[in-house]
Amino acid sequence: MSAARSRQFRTAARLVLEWCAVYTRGLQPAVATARQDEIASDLHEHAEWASTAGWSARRLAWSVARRSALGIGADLAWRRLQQRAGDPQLAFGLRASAALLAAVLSTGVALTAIGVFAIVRVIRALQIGDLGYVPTAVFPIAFLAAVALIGTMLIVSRRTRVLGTVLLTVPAVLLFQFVGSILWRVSASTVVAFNSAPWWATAAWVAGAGLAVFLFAAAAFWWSTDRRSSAADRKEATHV
Amino acid sequence: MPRRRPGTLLPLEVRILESGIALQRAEGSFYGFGIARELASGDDASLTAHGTLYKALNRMASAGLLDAEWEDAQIAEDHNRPRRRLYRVTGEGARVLAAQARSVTQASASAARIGLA
Repeated sequence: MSAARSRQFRTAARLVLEWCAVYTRGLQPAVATARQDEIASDLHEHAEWASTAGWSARRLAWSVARRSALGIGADLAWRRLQQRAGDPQLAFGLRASAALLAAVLSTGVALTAIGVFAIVRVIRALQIGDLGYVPTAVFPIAFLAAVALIGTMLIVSRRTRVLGTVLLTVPAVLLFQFVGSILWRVSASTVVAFNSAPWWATAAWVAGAGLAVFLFAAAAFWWSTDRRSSAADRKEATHV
Repeated sequence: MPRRRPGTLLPLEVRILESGIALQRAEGSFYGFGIARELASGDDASLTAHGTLYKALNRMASAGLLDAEWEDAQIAEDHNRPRRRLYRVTGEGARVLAAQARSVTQASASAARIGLA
């Protein structure tokens, strides 16, 4: 059996074509189809040439996989170029989404870190005898830090991004209050800071509410872009 | 990444134009894998990656250095293979390649004059 008809080559070729379908997804149909057809032609020519040259099936499959893997960066760069050329509004949406993602991820990491920091301070205060009991506020802080961590992890995947962002609004609103009340007991510098700024509790509520509004807006943005992109995919599917 | 000066070619683009002109003389046009094979000179380890090759061909066609058209479906069917996308080096492509070769030659001559080569 020639290398071109081998199971190894067919598997490698299928993976290459599946990858091509991924990076051409959502592009203008003519552009996407042209790239897919050109890759299919390349795979065929590569296999025929390899068979004529007497290559083994394994050598051909590795060569095909290597060419595909080494070109991933260029494939993604090409996709971005096509998106910009095809739809300036879409290109703006992608840039806005990337900036939002960075801001929301940073918020999630910061909320988790604040919660962990407060718990570590309590543990330290218990160890050195500054506190003789475990304050009840530690438990909601641990819960809110866990929610922030889960929300941050959900944001990483596009599929669960909206859920993760909405989840983050809970620690965004509540965490500052609980952390403030804990630090008041375990940190001398916090006591000084709070005494010089007696409005801290109000400021914490306002900051939390502002952060929650920002997170809700980000979730709404992603939810609406997901809906638009699903609708576009359905429309494209009915026209193929 | 710094923006390229118009009219300058990347090393891969120079090689595509040079090999393309050679293939074009022999066969009238060339296609993606044909140029990859030509660039690799029989060494499969240096066959250009799919993404790199087709991104370059796409960019060069957009810049007017190459003409691209799909092969007639009947011809592909007669040979029992997928259609090839056929490329030809345009007059502009040949002109830019020649200009680049001239500037490289001039740079080498200047370097030799001042004792750098």
